[in-house]
Amino acid sequence: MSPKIRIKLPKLTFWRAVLLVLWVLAAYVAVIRFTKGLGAVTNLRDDFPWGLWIGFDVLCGVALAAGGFTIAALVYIFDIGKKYHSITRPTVLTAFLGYLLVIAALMFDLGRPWNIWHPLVMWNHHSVMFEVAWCVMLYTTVLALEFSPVVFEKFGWHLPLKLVRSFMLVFVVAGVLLSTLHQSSLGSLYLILPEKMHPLWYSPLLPVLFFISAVGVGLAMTIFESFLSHRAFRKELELDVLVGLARGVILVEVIYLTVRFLDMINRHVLGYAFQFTREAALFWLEILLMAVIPIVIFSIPKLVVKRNWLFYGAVANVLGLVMNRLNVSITSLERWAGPYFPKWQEIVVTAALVATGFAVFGWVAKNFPIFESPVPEEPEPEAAGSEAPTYA
Amino acid sequence: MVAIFVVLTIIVFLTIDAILQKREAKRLALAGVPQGAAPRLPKVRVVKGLFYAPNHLWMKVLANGQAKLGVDDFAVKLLGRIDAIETVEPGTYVKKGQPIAWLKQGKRRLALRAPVSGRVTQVNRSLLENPEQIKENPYTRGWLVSIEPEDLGETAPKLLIAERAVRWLRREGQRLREFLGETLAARPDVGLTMADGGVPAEGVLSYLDDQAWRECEARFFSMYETE
Repeated sequence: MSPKIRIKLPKLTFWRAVLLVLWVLAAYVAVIRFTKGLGAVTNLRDDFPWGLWIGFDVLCGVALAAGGFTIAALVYIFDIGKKYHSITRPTVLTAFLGYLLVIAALMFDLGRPWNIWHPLVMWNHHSVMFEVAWCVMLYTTVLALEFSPVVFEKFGWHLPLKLVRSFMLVFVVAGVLLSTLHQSSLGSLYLILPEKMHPLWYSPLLPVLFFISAVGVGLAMTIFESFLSHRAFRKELELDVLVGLARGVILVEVIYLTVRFLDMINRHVLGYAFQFTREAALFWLEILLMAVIPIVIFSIPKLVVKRNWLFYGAVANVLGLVMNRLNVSITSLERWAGPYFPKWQEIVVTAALVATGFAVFGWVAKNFPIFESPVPEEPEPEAAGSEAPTYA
Repeated sequence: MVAIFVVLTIIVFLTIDAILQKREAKRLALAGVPQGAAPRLPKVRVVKGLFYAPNHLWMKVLANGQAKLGVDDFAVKLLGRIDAIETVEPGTYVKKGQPIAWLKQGKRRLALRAPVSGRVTQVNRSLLENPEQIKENPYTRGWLVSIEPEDLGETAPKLLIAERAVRWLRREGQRLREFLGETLAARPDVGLTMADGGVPAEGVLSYLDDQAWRECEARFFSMYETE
């Protein structure tokens, strides 16, 4: 019997068409960028060297990948309920893809990307960039190891699977440590700009604020991602799990608001928030989206159990975090360096990277067991008991 | 303004996606495809002391040399709803690979083929009268027929038992996902049911059309089909 080989082209949907267009445009931009340099495809300049690629792709990308370490820490280290186990794999996958895309974005943004390996051998202990580089490298490796059981299960490689599982706790602890360092050190990058940044965003506590907000958005991203998986893959929405995460968001955002406002009061800069300026408007919008709206939605018992409202709360938190990172990296510097708006080429590369992330997530979800396996790791005790079944 | 631009872009994309999903759901609802989240497929039960055939029949060899046959939990969960069960009559001689029982769901029938040749000595009348019993425990009250096997010494070593059976069932779960994802995802009537893989639903076969049913039967239940 000859085996049937079927080659099926995927159906061209709206999003696939968008992805294709973005890939073609991004490929064109990549050619220009790597042949003619950053100046040919970006609006970056000497007094504004970091734009959309760092502000969104790196700062937001890393923060939105924080679900990987928050959920892993909840499940493996703090052991807060086994119910979160089912969301560990998709969350780790989201984080892993997030970091890979951050690296891809860095390859576009670095002036000389071929020197990206330098921090490996040229150690500069005094540089925050050195810490960021090492954390990204190590944490991406840890995420690959955390995700590897999915691949080993798929191909039935039992020995490496056993080996990786036996070291899982070590990887998780390493991941949590590295993420803590990394999330905060991205905030530390801006500590050298106290005179250039707007007082509403500059703070010596930037590393702490970056870390707290990353933990919050890690939980919100997990709700967001679960909702999209539910719609796309018809995966059951585990409301009890998501409500638990939403409660976590309330706690984290209350801590965030407290730290941020106490810090502003302490530094006597709260007055800037009440001036009639563009910065003040953006500041309040950021606070509203990142903290106030999620806290309100998730605190109302009638709303938090409704999946649509859970989604709106999570989206608000994600959008607020995006605003925060872009306000820190771009808005706060515009007063000193003049306005910056990305060229279409910058926007296309960013959009293509995000779209690639969604596409790869879909492909992995389709081909690997990232949602709970229908067959247990061990048979259920009552069925696998030593007693042979009796028959009528 | 970059922050506002990025946030608005994300909102626009999410809105477009929500509109597209709504339109797709409406289209599928008109096509009569069940809506809403499919229930999660519960864990498949395995009894390690039984022999399992690749077409999802289990076999228990009794002390008197006879064997009881039944269908495994994977098949039960795959079908979800079982309206009726039919078996061959006692005294019938079946060759390995011939149908020995049928699980019925509406007008559809899933043939279960004997993993071993022999004469059927007994059928589980209680199960035929109450087919729902099979869902409670397919390994105890859910047995189908008793058979006097004739080539057991040759057949039994080829069947799966204990850890091998557990591993095989795990792989079957993966194979099911692949089957649903690769074969059916492109079809508009199944797209939402199992769009791009994910967790199979309990009773996923009831969501699929006749062609997919036949294909699933061929891939998972016909390993002993005779020419």
